[in-house]
Amino acid sequence: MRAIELTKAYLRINVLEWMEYKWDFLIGVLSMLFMEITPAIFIWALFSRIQAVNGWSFGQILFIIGLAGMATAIWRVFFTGFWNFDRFIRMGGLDRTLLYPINPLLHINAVSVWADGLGNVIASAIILSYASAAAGIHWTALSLLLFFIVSVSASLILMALTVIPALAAFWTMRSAVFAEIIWHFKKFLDYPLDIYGTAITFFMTFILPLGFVNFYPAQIFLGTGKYMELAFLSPLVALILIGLTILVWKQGLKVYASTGS
Amino acid sequence: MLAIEMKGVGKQYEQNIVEPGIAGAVKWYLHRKIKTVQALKGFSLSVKEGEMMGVIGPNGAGKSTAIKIMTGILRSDSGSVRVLGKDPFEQRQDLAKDIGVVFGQRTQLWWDLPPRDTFDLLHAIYNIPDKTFSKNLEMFTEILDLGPLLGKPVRKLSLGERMRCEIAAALLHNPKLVFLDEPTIGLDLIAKENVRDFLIKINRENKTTIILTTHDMGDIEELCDRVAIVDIGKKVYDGKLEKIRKLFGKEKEVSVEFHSQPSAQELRKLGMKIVKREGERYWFSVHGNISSAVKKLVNRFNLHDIEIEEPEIEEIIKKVYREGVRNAKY
Ligand SMILES: Nc1ncnc2c1ncn2[C@@H]1O[C@H](COP(=O)(O)OP(=O)(O)OP(=O)(O)O)[C@@H](O)[C@H]1O
Ligand SMILES: [Mg+2]
Repeated sequence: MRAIELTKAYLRINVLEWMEYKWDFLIGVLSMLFMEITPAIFIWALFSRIQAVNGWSFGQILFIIGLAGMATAIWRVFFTGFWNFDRFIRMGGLDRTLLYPINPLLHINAVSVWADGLGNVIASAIILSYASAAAGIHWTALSLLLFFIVSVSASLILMALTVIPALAAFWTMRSAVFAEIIWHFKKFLDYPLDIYGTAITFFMTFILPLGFVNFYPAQIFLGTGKYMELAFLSPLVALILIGLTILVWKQGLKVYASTGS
Repeated sequence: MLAIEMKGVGKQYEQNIVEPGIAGAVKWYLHRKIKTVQALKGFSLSVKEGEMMGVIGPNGAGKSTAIKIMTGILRSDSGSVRVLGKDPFEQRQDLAKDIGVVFGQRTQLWWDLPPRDTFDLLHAIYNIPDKTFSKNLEMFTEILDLGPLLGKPVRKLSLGERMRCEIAAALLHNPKLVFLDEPTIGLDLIAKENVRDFLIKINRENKTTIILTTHDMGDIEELCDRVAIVDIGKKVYDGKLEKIRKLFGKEKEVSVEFHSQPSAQELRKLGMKIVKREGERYWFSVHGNISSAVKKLVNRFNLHDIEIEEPEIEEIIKKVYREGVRNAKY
């Protein structure tokens, strides 16, 4: 099938590129692994003194961190193509991309598969298995499938929330800064959202819906019975955000067609 | 059938005028200063299937802009554009299967990998049948002498080596129409020959339509059936290269070595226009009938030597660029 052929070809060339820089690859993976595991260690240290934070146990918080980690991992491997989009445009990369008989959004993502995301994958897997034991989660085939859907949706939410600001490059010369600002809000995901108070919770649910990356869907697996009306909405939020991304992209492309790089 | 039909195409760019420094940037946000550049105006061009067409013109004339419009990267403000029967902007992705593009200034090759790896990716992107792919790769490798290059990372290739790979990459999927924006930039004489031979072969064997822009008249002389000269966004000439010489190259130069210094007054009386002078040797520019001018000189003076020089095509084109067609035409 054509989609599989294409995926194979794009993956292959990315892997070949990592192999060109074996040491960078290794260091990248290790540094991401440590970066991802640090907040978990911090929580572990914290819980050696206390029993619960705002009613959340060690295992539960660890699971929430692990889910954000997995979403970040998938995002980092597959959906970072737009991270330097302003530079990409300035260098004429978009001109080139538009000449391929392929959806440019897909192409731009597919030509930048980041290897160091493997570090995030490993770190998150470790955190999640610890968390599962601590929070007493029993995995079944169904919950594993749900987990897969949730983490892919979550990574797509992260993608949309980084791509949309990056697309500002169509209107202003430099846009990397916008994506970085949003990225800073991701730090809030290291703790259960409801410890921050209503204003921030509201903001992270309805304005910048990062809550759907980990906090709300985590409730499904933790079996808390809390926030059930929001817990299953991550795929829908992802879909809406992707729709929005495509809309902004099309608008941007129109601007590009009249201004050029 | 026409491969390309552009009629009365206009294209305007807007450039932000930002003064340097942070203060300049802030000022720009408060009060946007915009300069518009009319890159193309009333630009028309038609190219038949199987034709090799050259597009030349001074820097900033609008050649690259025209290519970007024909390939669907940019949309024209006015006029109509058909490429292989399609609207390139509306049907860009569909059209992309049938066209190949080389931007001489930019690369589509993966910088850190050998060209072969990019070729493999293009194999998948263009959905090239395996047989076609290996046949083309073999032929390109031979004619463009890619053998020693295919395994080296692109960043380690010289400009000319990279360009040969670039051209191969753009043609792997047997496009019906190929755009080459300055394909011979930075190539040495042998590489240029290779590339030209290659393009001629592709054009003959596959009936591929080729549009190329260049600053090298050699490309035009050796490759193109027809040439368009673009100046300030307009096509100012369209036809055979040889005809340019007939139209604009009427002025020839006669250089004469006299036995003894002729008097300026006498030369003026004969109507000779002096271009240059070195001792007893004079260069006159003669427009129209050369033999009558020579006859006048021979009758009147005692001459050592006489030479008639036809201007190089480069010189003529330079004159057209400098003075515009209207003034260059006399
Ligand atoms: N993206 C852009 N934004 C603003 N102005 C542009 C842009 N691209 C080109 N221009 C301007 O449009 C005009 C035509 O440019 P173009 O690149 O088409 O010229 P060209 O004939 O290809 O020149 P060259 O021989 O130098 O490659 C120039 O004045 C150029 O400065
Ligand atoms: Mg150009």
